[in-house]
Amino acid sequence: MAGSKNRKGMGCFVKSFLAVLIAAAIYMGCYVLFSPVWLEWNNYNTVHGFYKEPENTIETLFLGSSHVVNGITPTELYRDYGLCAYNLGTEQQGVNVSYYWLREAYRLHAESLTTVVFDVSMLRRTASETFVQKGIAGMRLFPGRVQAMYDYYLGPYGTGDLQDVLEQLNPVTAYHTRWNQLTRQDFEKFHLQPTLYSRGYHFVSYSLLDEGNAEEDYEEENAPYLESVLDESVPGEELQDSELYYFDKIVAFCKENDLDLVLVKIPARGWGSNRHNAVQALAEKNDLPFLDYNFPVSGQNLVGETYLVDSHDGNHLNYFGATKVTHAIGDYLVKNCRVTDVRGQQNYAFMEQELADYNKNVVVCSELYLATELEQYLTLAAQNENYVIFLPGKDETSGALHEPLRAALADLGFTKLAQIGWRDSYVGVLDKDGVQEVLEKADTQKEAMLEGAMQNGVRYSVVGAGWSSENFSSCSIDETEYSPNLRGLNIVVYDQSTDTVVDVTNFDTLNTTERMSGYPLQEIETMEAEGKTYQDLTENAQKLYRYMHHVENQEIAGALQGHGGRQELVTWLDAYRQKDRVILLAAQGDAADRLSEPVREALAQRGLTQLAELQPGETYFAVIEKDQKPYEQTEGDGTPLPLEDAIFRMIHAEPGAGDAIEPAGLQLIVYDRIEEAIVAQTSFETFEDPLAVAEREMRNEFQTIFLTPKGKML
Amino acid sequence: MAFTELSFFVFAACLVLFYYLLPAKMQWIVLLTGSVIFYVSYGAEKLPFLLAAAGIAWWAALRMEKIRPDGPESRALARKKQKKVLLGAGALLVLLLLYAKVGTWVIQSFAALLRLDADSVPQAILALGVSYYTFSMLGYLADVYYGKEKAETNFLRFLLFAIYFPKILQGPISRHKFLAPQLKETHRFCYEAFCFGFQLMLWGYFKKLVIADRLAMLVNYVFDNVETQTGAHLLMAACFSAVQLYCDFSGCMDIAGGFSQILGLKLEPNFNHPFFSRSAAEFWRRWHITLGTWFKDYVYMPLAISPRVIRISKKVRETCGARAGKAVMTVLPLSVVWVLTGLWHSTEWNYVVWGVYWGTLIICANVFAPELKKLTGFLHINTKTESWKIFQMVRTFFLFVVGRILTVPGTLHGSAEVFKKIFFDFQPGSLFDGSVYSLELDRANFHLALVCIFVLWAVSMLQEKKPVRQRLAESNVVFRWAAWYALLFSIVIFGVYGPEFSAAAFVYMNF
Repeated sequence: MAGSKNRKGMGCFVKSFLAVLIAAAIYMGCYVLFSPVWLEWNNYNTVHGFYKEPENTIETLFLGSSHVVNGITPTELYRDYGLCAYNLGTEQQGVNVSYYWLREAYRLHAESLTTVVFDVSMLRRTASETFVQKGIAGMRLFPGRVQAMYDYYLGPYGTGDLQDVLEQLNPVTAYHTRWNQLTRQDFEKFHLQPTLYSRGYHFVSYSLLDEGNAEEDYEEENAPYLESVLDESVPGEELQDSELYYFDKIVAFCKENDLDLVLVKIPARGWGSNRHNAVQALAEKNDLPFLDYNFPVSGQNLVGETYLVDSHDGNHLNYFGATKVTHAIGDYLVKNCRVTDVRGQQNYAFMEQELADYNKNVVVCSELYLATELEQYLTLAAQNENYVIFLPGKDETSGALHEPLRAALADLGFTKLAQIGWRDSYVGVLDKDGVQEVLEKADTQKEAMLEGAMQNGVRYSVVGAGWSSENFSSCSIDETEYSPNLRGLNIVVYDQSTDTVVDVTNFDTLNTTERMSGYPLQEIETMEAEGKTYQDLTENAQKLYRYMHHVENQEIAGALQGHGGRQELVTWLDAYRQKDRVILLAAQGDAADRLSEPVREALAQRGLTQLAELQPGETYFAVIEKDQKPYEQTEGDGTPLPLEDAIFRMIHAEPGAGDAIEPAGLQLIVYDRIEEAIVAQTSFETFEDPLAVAEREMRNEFQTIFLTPKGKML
Repeated sequence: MAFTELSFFVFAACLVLFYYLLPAKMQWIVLLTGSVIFYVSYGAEKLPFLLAAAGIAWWAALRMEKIRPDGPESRALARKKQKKVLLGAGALLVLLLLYAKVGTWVIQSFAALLRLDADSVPQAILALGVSYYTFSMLGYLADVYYGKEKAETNFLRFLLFAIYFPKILQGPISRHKFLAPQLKETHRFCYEAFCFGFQLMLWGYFKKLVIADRLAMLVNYVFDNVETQTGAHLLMAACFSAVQLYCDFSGCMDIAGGFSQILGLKLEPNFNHPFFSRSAAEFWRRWHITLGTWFKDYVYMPLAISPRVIRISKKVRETCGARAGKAVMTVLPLSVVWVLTGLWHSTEWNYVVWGVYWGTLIICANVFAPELKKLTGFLHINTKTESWKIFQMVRTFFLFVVGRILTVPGTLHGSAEVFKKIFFDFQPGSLFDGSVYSLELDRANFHLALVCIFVLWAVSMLQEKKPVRQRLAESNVVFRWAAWYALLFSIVIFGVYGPEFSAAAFVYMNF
């Protein structure tokens, strides 16, 4: 009897245990299924990559928001300085999340961590609950995420509700309502790697000028500029208490654990003198260095003039901008922080493999982006055995394919492309096993098509149709269309190791085998040596040139802020006497009254001889350009200058009509030929007696200089 | 700490552990402690009311018992004294109930009269479960008065009966003689009871979280926007509100009953598949059973056999005939019962009308039963067929839906608007043009609600013949476990809970 009771009891226990076990297993399935999947700005790689790092190896830690994600490439810190760093930036990473990740990183790398670089962008606003959740998504449950959620909800700025903590730690509770929105991506989340990545850095190659790849169509009217002229007199913006609370915790944590803390600002829009000054005050209060790369640091403006091509969306850096900022920070760290060169050390051997992967994936991809020649492009792409290159042609593909190029294409394996004729239909696929091609002659009016699966099982379908056929091109990979569908040869490069499309481009091979560079900085840098003018530049280069001009003008204007008065005339002339800028000077006789001898001498040295000798009562006008003798005209009796034979025609008119400047003393206008706009105007009140001004007004006709409404010189 | 909050699960688990791990004689103390903690989680300021009510009832019962007649003459005197105690204690308890029901309104009316700022006067405290525990205590006092049971001498044990937490929120309205002995006994852990109790709780959570709270979203949306809804939508929402109320209320009963079963206790059943009822009277024998039986035992029966009602009946018989005279013995007590039932739910006019509505239905069905039988005979309706039974069930369901329309909008004017729309702006096409998916429930959730209602109906049909838990217990282990896991995870996945939703209050908690 007792035995059967015991057996029954044991049976009940086993059944209960099994029941709980099965329930737990199903629940874990739900846990995984309902875990949030972030499709955009996915932090999966960053976080999972971090946890794969061998413990006690990371020496330098980067924290911050998406500006850091795109702005710091730690692998290049290793390559060029030997530093072992990791980029733990995540999208919209609030200061509180930065603190939570700092704690987590220290837990795993306490013995090696010496330096924390914290981007201050998020000090200016509070990250929403969603982004806090996103920021710590993937953090290990114990103790990091539990501590983080406990602190976030039950800390001084939380909801105070324990229920919130329990619900957020359990994605089933938080996200089970998504049951009717589950898609295939929810079941494939482990393979979700939307961008090229390395040690937390998310690689983006394209710039705003790169049509078809850029996230937004570039419009010159809305060009993104960084406020790159610092005004220290502007009052600092008031920072949020909640952000300061967690900032103080970061500072205290670093102090307590003997970590060097460096504050940085990765260049981005939405940052100005008011914010800089606020953070500068905070840095000084805590005796911390603050490197604000939005503004010139140590006299060097990193990306201000080239932000147009160093940013991929107007708000985040691309690879080219990131390398500049990374190296600037690397220089600083090596000189000022306790960082070491770990190259060659046994326990850092894994970094060599990471560097090799980086060179193969990231660096090659960036070089691909810079390649403007078809042969150069295909040769580079073919070097990476993980790349699959799809080439669907459209319309007419053969016009510019000269014989040497055809031979080169044949050497690469594109034998049919080497034989392509007028308006033929063509597709080609190159992978490490070789080249597959289909060529249909134009008179067949057929499209060329290739379908199949890559080695990772992803299916593709490529179609190229010449002008006589359907006249389109398509490249579908895993049911997503990628072809730019432009005339000529369209190219899609797919990286099998990361399951990502790394580049999409087009060569209009009807007319040329070159494509316009999305990063035309080199073209500008070599234009003088090659004897090119602005008009000789490609369209993208001209856009960049105009952009850089605008930034330069802002910098000149910023440098001249506060300068005025007759002694400063020469300063202004020197500042604006630059290439592509035209300085117009107009004066009345009273301008001569206070032109002192030193000023006259300086003017004479600069070729303004008539101005240097200007007498009271005389009217004066000059056109000044760099490297040209100034054009000067003086009317001795003070009458208006006819100037019909001047370079710029002036229109006499009644006062107050149209855009005009009214000469009183010396008037200065700067017209920029590149921007095609007036970029500066000022006057030098060389005669300051109000009675004399009144007399002048009564006595003189005045000469006005008219310009069209847009400031174009006639 | 609602039944659907995470904190309740932690609390319940700890309570069960302590209940069975500590010495058995401490079980009632564990329950009392747990019940106090549960009650106080809703606000400590509510506790004094319950303590006061329990104190009054406990003392009054003891007092009545102490009043013993010495001889035949003093029996009447003792009875009179007992009646005084009963009425006095009863009046105090009813006063407490009235304070909870209309206290705020009275205070604010006085404030308006004295021209005081309404925000500056203290608000009445809404004592949790006051409708339930005062009725339990009133029933207890009546039972002691009538000698049906003995008074409890231990105040804490009596308090446990009053505050026992599974029933405090929404009932059932327990009888002391049913529950108290169970609370006194010790209970050993029984695996079968644990499983059955857990299963019943799961079913309760399914009804509450998957069906009731899901339908509530649509019902609330539609009735908050009556002017923009078609009559068809309103009728659909009213039907859903009937199902919602049933699932909400009976779901809570199942959770309470299931948890009690885990502890080895049994609560009185409060529902018996009311939508299978074929008449209004039968409906109220299946719906909120303990309220119905309470009114029957403590209002209807005493009134029906009271000398006054008998006298009136006699007079009516003399003037209007035997049938009329007999009817009076039913009509008068029923009228009182239904007015009180309406008032028990709320003192608002719509609930009074609701009570009158049901009372009228039941009275008419009772008084005109012979005429109705003649009518069906005249129309050659075979009342023994299944189709007739189905017709009766559907008819009763719609009678209930009409009752819902009287209460859900919140005011009589609102109810009138709804009826107007149903009769004069029906637009049946609006049920099929896809607009139903924009009433707060998207397509998937709407269809899910329909599927779950079907599941509910199917289980109820099976339950009518044999308890489903029993059926499953006897079935193949794989099928059995699959069914329970399906139920568990349908709650986990489809349940309306989580950060997007606040813990939806149980509807009958407000009474």
